[in-house]
Amino acid sequence: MATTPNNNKHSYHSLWSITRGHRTLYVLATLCSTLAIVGLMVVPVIAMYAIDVVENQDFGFANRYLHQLANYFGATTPFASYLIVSAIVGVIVTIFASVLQFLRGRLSAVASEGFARRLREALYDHTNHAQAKFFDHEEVGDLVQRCTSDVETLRQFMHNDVDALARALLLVFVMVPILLWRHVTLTFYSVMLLPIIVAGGIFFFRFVAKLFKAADEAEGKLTAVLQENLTGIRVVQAFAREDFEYQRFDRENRSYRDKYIRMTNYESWYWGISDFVCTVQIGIVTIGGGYLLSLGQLTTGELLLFITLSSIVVWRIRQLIDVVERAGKTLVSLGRVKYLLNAETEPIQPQPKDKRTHGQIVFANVSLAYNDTAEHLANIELTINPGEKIGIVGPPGSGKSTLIRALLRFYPIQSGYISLDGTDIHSIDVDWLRQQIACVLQEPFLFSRTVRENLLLGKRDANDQELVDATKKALMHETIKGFPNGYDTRIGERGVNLSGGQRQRLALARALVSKAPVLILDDVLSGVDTHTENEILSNLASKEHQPTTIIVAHRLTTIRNVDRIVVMEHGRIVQVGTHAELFEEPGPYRELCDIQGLLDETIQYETELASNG
Amino acid sequence: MADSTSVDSVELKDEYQDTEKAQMEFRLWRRLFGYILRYKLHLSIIAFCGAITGATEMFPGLIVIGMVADIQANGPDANLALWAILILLTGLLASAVVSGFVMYVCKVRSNASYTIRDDAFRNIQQQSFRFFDRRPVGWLMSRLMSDCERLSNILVWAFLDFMWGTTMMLSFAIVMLVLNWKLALFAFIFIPMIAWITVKLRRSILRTARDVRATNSILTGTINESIMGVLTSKSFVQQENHLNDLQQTTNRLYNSSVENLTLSAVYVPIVMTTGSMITGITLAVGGIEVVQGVFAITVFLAFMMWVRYFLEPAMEMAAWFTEMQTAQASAERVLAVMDAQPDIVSRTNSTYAISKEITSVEVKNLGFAYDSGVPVLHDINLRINAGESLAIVGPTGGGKTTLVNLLCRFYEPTTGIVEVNGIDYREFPLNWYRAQLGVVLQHAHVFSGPILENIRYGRIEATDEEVIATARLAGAHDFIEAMEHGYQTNAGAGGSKLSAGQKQLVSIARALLSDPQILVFDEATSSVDTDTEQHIQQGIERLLRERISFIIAHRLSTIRNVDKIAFVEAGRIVEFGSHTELLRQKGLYATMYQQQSMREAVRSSFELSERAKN
Repeated sequence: MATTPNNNKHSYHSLWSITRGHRTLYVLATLCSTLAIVGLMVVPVIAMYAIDVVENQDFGFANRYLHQLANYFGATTPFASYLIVSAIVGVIVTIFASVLQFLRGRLSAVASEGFARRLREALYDHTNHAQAKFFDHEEVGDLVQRCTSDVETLRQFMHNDVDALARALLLVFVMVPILLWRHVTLTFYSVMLLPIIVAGGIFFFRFVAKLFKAADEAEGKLTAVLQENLTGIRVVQAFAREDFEYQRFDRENRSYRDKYIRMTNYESWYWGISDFVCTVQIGIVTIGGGYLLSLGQLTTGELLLFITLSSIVVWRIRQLIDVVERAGKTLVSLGRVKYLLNAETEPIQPQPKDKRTHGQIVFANVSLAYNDTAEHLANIELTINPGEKIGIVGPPGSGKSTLIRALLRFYPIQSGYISLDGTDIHSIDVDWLRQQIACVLQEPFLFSRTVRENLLLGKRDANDQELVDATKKALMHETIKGFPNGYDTRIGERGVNLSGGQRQRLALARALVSKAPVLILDDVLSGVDTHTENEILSNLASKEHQPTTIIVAHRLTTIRNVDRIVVMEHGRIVQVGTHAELFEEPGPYRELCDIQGLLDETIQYETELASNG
Repeated sequence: MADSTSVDSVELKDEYQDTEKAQMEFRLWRRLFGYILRYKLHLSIIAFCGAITGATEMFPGLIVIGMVADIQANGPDANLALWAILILLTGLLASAVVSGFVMYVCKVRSNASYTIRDDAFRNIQQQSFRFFDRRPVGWLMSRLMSDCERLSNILVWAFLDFMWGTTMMLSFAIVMLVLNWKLALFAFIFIPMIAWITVKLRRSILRTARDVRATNSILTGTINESIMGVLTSKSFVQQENHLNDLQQTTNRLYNSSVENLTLSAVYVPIVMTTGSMITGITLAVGGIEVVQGVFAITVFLAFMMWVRYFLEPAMEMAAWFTEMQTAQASAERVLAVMDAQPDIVSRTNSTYAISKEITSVEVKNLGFAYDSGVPVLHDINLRINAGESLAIVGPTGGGKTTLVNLLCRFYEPTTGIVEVNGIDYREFPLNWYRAQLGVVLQHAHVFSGPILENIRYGRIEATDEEVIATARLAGAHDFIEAMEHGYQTNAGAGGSKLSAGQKQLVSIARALLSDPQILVFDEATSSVDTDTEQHIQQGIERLLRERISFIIAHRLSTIRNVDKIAFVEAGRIVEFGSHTELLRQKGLYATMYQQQSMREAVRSSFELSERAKN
C-alpha cells in the first residue's frame, strides 16, 4: 500500500490505514451474505420436495406425522397441510435470508461510506499540505476529480463489488453440494460451461479495455474543450470566434459519440454471445435432467431444483463481467488517488520559541529555477531591516513575484539561504513562518463565502472592531456597508460580483486583519486610482504597528514612500537604494524616474498653463 | 460587470436540488423524445427486439413443460433431441435480439446525447454576457455533460424496457390465464403491490439521493475552491480550519449516503419476500389442485418456474417512472438552456454592408441597468471619430467597465443608443461588428495551449511571423522567448503559467493581431511596469492613429496622449473634453492628474499623515 516519506506530516494517509475499523464490518457483511445465499438455495429444495410429494403422493418418512398434523388442523388430506407448511417454511426462510441480505447491505454501506469519508478528508488535507510547486504541473479540474469522482468509484466498488467475487464463488460452493446430493453426474453438467463464461468475460474485457479507455479519454477531452470555452466565453465573443469554437467542440463531441458507439458495438456482441452460452448451459441441465427423468433416475422435483439453481448461478456468474469491468476502473481510480496521497507534503519542523518576529529578512546569494532552462532568481542579495519599507519594481517576468514566493517557501531555492530574524526559514516550521507574513498575492483569491468569512481568514478570532479597522484602512468599509447584507454578503456568482479594484482592496483588508510583523503587497493596487491608492498607503502603518513591508508595484507613486527601492531584471537585483541614491546613478530606475519626471514637469507646466489660460 | 449584484434567479437556486414534481410533465418528455424519434428505423429495431425478448421470456418454461409431458407419456422414448433443438433455437433468437437491442439502444442514446449537447452548445454561444453573469461555468458544464447523458439514457432504455415489459407481461398473462386462471390471478394480485412498493420506496431512496447529490456538489465546490486558493490558504495557514469546515460536509454526506444505501438495501429483500409469498401460494394452491387431479403436474412445474420472473417488468417500469420523475428537473434545465433567447442578436434585416469603414462612434442618452434593476449608467453622451482615442477614467466601481462593455455590444443599452457611422449599432450584423473590435478585457483571459495559438486567436489565419511581429509590438516577445519552449510553451489552464502582467501582454498582442477598427483596452496594462508600458505605447502609436480606441486606465501616463477624456463617476460622465480643456476646468480630472505627480503625491501623503497625527 501507499508508503509516504518519513518526514511527512501526514503519513497516516496510507490507503490501508484508511480502511482501519471497517475491515471487521466487511467480514460480518460477507458472513451475512453467505447465510443469505444458503437460505436462498434452501427454498428451491423445499419446492423440490413439494413437487415430488405431489407427484408421488407419498411423504416417505413423514407420512405418520403429516396425517396427525392433518387431523390436528382438521384438514381433509395430509397433502394440503404438507403444502401449506412447505409454503410457510419457504416464506420464513426467505424472510430470514432477506433480513440477512439487508444486514449485508447496511453493514457494507456503513463500511464503504466510512472509508470514503476518511479518504475524502485525507485527500483534502493532503492536498492542502502538498508543496506549492506540486500544483504547477496539475490542473485544478483533474485534482478535484481525484478527490471526488475517483473516491466515488472506489466507494461504489467497496460497497457493491469488493465481495462480489466471493459471493459468486459462494453461490457455486453452496449450490454444488446440494446438487451433488441429488445427482453426481448432472451436477458436473450443471457447471461445465461456467469456466467458459468466466474466461470469455475476462477475455472480452481485456479485448475492449482499449476501447473503454479511448471512450473515457474522449469524454475527458470533450469536458476540457467545454470548460475552456465556457471559462473564456467572453474572449470568444469579443473576437467573434463562435464558429471556430463550435468546430473544435463538434470534433470532440463527435469523437466521444463515435468512440462510445464503437465500444458498445463490441459490447452488444458480447452480451448476445454470452446470453447464448448461458442458455446452452441451462439447456444442458434441462435436457440432461430430462434424460435422467425418462430413465427414472431423477424426480420431477429434482429436475426443477437443477434448473432453478443453475439458472440463478449462471446469470450471476455472467454478471461478474460487470464487476471485472468496474474493477478495472477502480484500479485506475486507485492509482490516481494514490498519486495524490503520495504528493510530497510540507515537512514538519520545529517551531521557534519566539511567538513573533521583529521582521528582519535576509536573502543571501539566493538562486531559484522552476525548470532547467532558465534561472528565475539569480544570486539575490538583500537585507531588509525590521520595520523597513521596500519597494520592488521591474518588468513582467523579472522575478518580483518569485522572490516573494521564495520567502513564503512556496518554491524551494536551489542555493543560498533566506533568514527571518537570523533563522534560516528552511529550518523552521513553515506554518509559523507564514503566520509572520501577511501577504496579498498578485490576482488575490477570494473564497465564495461572505465578506466576513473572507476577512476572518486573516485571523480566525478577530472581533468586529478589528475587521472594521482593517477594511477602513483598505478604504473598503463604505463599499461593504453598501452591499445588500453588509459584512454578511456573499461574494461570487451567487452573491455580489466585485470589481477588480474592490477585490484587491478586500484582499488587502484580509491581510491587514492578521497584523503580522511582515506585510507583502504583490501588485495589489493596480486596479485602484491614484487618489485611493495614496490614502490606502498612508493608512498602512500606524504608531502601534509598523510591519516590515514589501511592495511590488508598477507606478512610481506607489513606492514613493518606501525606505529603499529594489529594481529587478531577468531574475537579478540590478539596483538597490533609496530614491535619492538610485536617482543619481544611471540605470533602469533613473529611466523610470525620467518618465515620471517628464510627467511631473508636464503636469506642473500644464497645470500652470491651464491656470494662466 | 463591476458592482452588478447578480440575481439569484429561480433557475440557479435549484442547482443543488432535483425538485421532484408530483405531476409528470409529459410536455418536457415529449420534446426530448423528439430527439430519439429522428432515428425511426433504429427505434423500430429496438421496439422489435424488445418485444421479441419479452415474448420469448416464457419459452424455457414452455419447453420444460413440453419435455416433461413428453417423458411422462413416452418414457425413455421421449424425443429429447427435438427439445434440445428447440432450446438451441430459443437461445439463438434470444442472443440475436439481445445483441440487436444493446447495439441500437447504445447507438441511439449516444446520438441523442450528441444532438442535445450540440443544440445546447450552439445556443449557449449565442448568449450575451448577461446570461453568463448569472450562470456559473460549473452549472453549465453539468447541463451539457451529466444531464445530457442521463436524459438520453432514460429516453432510450425506458423505451426498450417499456416494449419488453408490456409484451412480457401480456404474454405471461395470456398463457398463465389460459393454463390456470385461478392461480394466475393469485399471482397477478402482487403486480400492483410490487409496483406500488417500488414507486414508494424509490421515492424515498431518490429523496435521500438528492440530498447526497446536493452535499456532493457542495463538497466538490469546497474542494475546487480550496485547490484554486491553495496559495492563499497556505499564506494564511488555514489548512486545519479548512479541514474542520470540510468535516461538516463529509459528515453530512456520510449520514445521507448511509441512509440512502440502507433504504436501497431494504428494497431487494422486500421484493424477495413478496416473490416467496407468490411461490408459496402457487405451491400450496397449485399443489392441492394437482393432488385433486384438476391441474397437470407439468403446468404446475411451469408456474413454479415463472413466478420468479414475472414481477420483473413491473419493477423495472416502476423504477423508470420514478427515475423520470426525478430527472424532470434535469430535463427542465437542459431545455431551458436550449430555449434561452439570446438578448443580443443580429437583426434579420441587418443590411449594412460588411467591410465598411467605421468613421465614428456616438453614444446618445445611454442608460444601463444590470438584472438587479439598479441603474449603473445614466444619460451618457459622447462622440469619437476615426483616428481619435477616448480615455475613460474615474474611481473604481464608477461604471467604466460597463460603459466599454456596452460599446462592444456585450450588453445593449437599457435606454438610449450607440451609433456607428450615425446608424444604431444594432443594425449591423453582430459578428461583423465584433470582428472590428480588438478587446483586452479587465481580467485578461488566456486559454490553455501554446502561447503562439493564444495570440493567433485574434486572427486565425495569421502566419507565425505575423504573430511574432505583433508580440514584439505588444512587448511580449522577450518574455515568451525566455520561456521553456518559447512560443510553443503551454500557457496552462486559464493561463496559470503566466503572471498577471504577462497575461495582459499576450491579450494585447491578441487584440492587435486582429487588426481591429476599434481598440478597447480595459486596464490592459495595470500589471505592467511603466517602462514596458511606454514601450507598448510607442509600438502601437502608429496603429492608434488610424483607429478608434477606448482606453480605461488609472495611470495617467497611459492616458495623457489620448484625444478625449471622459471622467466617469457614479455612472455619469461628470467631465468630458481634451486633456487641456479638462485641466482648465480645474475639476476632478485636474485634481486626479496632479495627484499623479510625484511631488504632489508626496505632499498629499504628508498631509494625510499630519491629519492622522492630529
